[in-house]
Amino acid sequence: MNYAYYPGCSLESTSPDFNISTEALIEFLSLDIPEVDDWVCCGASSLHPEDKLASLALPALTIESAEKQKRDIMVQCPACYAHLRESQEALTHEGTMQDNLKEAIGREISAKLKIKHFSEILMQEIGLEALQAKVTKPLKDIKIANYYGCVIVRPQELMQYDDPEDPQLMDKLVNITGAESVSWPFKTKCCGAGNSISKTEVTLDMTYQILSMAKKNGADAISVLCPLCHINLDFRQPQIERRYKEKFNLPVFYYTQLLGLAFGLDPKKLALDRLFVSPFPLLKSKGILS
Amino acid sequence: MAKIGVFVCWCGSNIAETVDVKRAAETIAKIPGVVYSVDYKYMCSDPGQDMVKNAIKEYNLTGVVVASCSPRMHEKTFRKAASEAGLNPYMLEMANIREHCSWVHDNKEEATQKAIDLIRMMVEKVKRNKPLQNIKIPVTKKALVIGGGVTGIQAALDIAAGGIPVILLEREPSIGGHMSMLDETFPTLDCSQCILTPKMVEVAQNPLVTIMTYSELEKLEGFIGNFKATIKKKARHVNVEECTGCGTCWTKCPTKVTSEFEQGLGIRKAIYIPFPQAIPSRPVIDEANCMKFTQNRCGICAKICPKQCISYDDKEEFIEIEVGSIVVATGYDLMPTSAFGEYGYGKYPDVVTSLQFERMVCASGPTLGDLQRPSDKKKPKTVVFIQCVGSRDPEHHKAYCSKICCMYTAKQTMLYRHKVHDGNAYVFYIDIRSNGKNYEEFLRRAQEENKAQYIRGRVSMVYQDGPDLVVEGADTLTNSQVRIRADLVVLATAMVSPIGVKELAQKLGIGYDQHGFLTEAHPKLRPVESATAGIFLAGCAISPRDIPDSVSEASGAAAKVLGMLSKDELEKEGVVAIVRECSCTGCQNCIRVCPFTAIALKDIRDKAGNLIRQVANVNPGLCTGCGTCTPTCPSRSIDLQGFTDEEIFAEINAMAELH
Repeated sequence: MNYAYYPGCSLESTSPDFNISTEALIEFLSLDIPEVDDWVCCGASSLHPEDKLASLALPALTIESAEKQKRDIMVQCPACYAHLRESQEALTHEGTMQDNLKEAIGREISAKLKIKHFSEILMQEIGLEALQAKVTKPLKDIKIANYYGCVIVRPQELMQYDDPEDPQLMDKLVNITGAESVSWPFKTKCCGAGNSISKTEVTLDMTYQILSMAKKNGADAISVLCPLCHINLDFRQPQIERRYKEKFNLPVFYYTQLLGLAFGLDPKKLALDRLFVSPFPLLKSKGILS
Repeated sequence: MAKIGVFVCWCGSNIAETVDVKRAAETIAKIPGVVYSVDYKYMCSDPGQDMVKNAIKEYNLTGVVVASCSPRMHEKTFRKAASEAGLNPYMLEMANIREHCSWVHDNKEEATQKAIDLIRMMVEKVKRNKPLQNIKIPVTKKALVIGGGVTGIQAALDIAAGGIPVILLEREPSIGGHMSMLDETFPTLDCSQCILTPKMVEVAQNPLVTIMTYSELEKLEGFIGNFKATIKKKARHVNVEECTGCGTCWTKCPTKVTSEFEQGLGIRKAIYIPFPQAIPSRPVIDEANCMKFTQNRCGICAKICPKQCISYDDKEEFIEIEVGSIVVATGYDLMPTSAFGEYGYGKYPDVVTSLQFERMVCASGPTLGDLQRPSDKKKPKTVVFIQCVGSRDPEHHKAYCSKICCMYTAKQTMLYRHKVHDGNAYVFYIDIRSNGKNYEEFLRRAQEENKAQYIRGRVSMVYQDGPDLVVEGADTLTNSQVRIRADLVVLATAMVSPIGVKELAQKLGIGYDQHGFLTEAHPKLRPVESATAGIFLAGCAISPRDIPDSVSEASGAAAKVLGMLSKDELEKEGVVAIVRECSCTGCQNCIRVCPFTAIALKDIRDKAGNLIRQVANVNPGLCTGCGTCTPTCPSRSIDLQGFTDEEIFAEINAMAELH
């Protein structure tokens, strides 16, 4: 295992809780995962419909940087993950785009490295058993709805993450914490994503459905792996409750936070205090925190 | 000394407008060996053909070039004329100065020069042509039909009606195919069993038809008119002659197995007939599930059989048959639904396929036609039908349209409403294709009388919410999202080629496309023939079809078989490869490249019978004259008659000399 961490802009700005809990896990598991040197924006959201070439060239620079470090890339944000993968596809397959990238960047990038989501690394390279062995504070009696969002699983050919309709990877990780992953149908339903800003009502309706379905299936909390999903489900939750006159009170954890809790890490180190829907009442009621 | 006649055609103005035909004829007349050169307005007309015939006789021509249209158009016409005038037909060649010249050029001077070149090339070729004889092939007057669905049954019946014995081959324990699983059929709503069963009985009772069920083609050798097929009869473990089909064995058999015929919704026993009207009504033992085979115990069926028909020691048998012609009617399968996670098939018991729905409403189905949804036996009050599941989806599944789903979905909404009068039937569709006789009217009935509600758009997901299913999709006509709570969801999954059809096609030496559908010799003009002579195709083996189309094609294929087998000998063109045995080294290059397996090694022996060496040998019955073999021969020992190296080089030289 020889990875460099690419946090991307979301984890450094809007979702520091994801970043903090990720670094806490890296430290706790004594993983040698430094940051990618001189990483740049992945080109997310705005660039890829506007300028395809630039949207592939930006992640190519990050890939090149990791290559210089002789490391594979570890990533947390699904959008970063998708753009890095797409750029890698273009860099490694002969064609016009490969030529254009070479011309735009001014040099060739071999891009023959691994790009992995942190959850995949935990699962495939550390393994459930090894992780299980580190659990000191099992999250007993908590039911979790694992919400993957739409980006990490699609398109399947590119992402090769898990089944696009009923993924299991995060469920398995969450299960080792002692919490129970519920089976529910909305694991990869869209959360409304960027419409959150431009067409807020659309997003509110979509997130409302997701929260309702999680609750209906008995979830006490939600676990996510995407910063944008997190914003829509966590930050917007009070707004959704007001609009639909329904109380959810569903804490939305990053899966890294749940793992960290089970490993007995300090809630502060996991940035649990930064969540908008406070998880403390739930954690206290279940006797996990005092 | 060659005496060549050249006939330049105007083709009305088709050629004459762009090519100076007079000048062409005059120029060609100067070539050594050309004794007669003329132009005429319509060479293919009767007077035109008479000109050719008369000139052959008058000038004692040894070769003829007709410069006109493509040989695909009129080569046969002129060769027949030449033959009537006493000239070997292969001594006539066509120079294509229409499709290859006048139609594609507009500069008259250049086009005329090109036409002269083209004619000159053919003159040089025909000078070197050798007379060829058509090949006569004896015929076995017997046919094999592969596939015992409605298509195969119809083909067998029609062939037998022409007095030709037929073997009807079916790999399942009974004939009947998918049609026997259907409830009622569009657009008349007649019961599928009621119209199919009489045909099954008719074919079983026909003295000219031999039905071989639970059997598959193992190997095919030979060629048109003379096929030798090896049939594998799988071990049935039941003596078909002695068995009366009394049913004691399967009543007493303790092992319950999910029924394939009931699409997983019902059960059968380990010794079973697939359905009550099965033909033959003789059971088979399913070795994979029978305890005698899996655990070496039980044995009840053998003990209880009043006629002692059960034999656990039966082994598969191989039977050789000789037939003159073959019809392939191997039908279809439905696409495996595991591919559709978004519709929750396999996860939610109340998401079913269209074929399962047929069994759920069929009077002979597992619930005897009482419509119940699988999860809780409730009568579904709202049913959502989803069309194009896997079809018309080039990104994920199949690009093609499965053709029958629009109509059977309309039918199923009717069947549903006939069972649940106040029920709601919704149909998600992309387009509705109802282009058959009385189809559109039928569809309208589903919509107007039976109140099926059609929603144009696709479904994004189906999920379980309590006891209900929720179907989310788009209505692209109102540009809105729809969410329907349903009790049952029916998927119209794509029709795909059945398992094993590619291997079968390879054994038969016939082509198939990327989807495993068999390829016609010509999609429009030879729709029921394969590219391999003597092997015909019908029904869903070619591509998705409905029952009327499949049955028509079965009759079409049968007519082709009868036409072929009506002759005592078959005649085919003499354009076949020939081996010069004295220089052949037996390297087998030609054998490896021949797409028709027409070449094999032949032993050369001395007078004492000792093997001296082996050489390639062409079976003229199988050879199609494609010429693939000739360039691979390192010693130039294989040549294509009618297109020999000498003839082709003469053409090239004739052109090269001029330029």
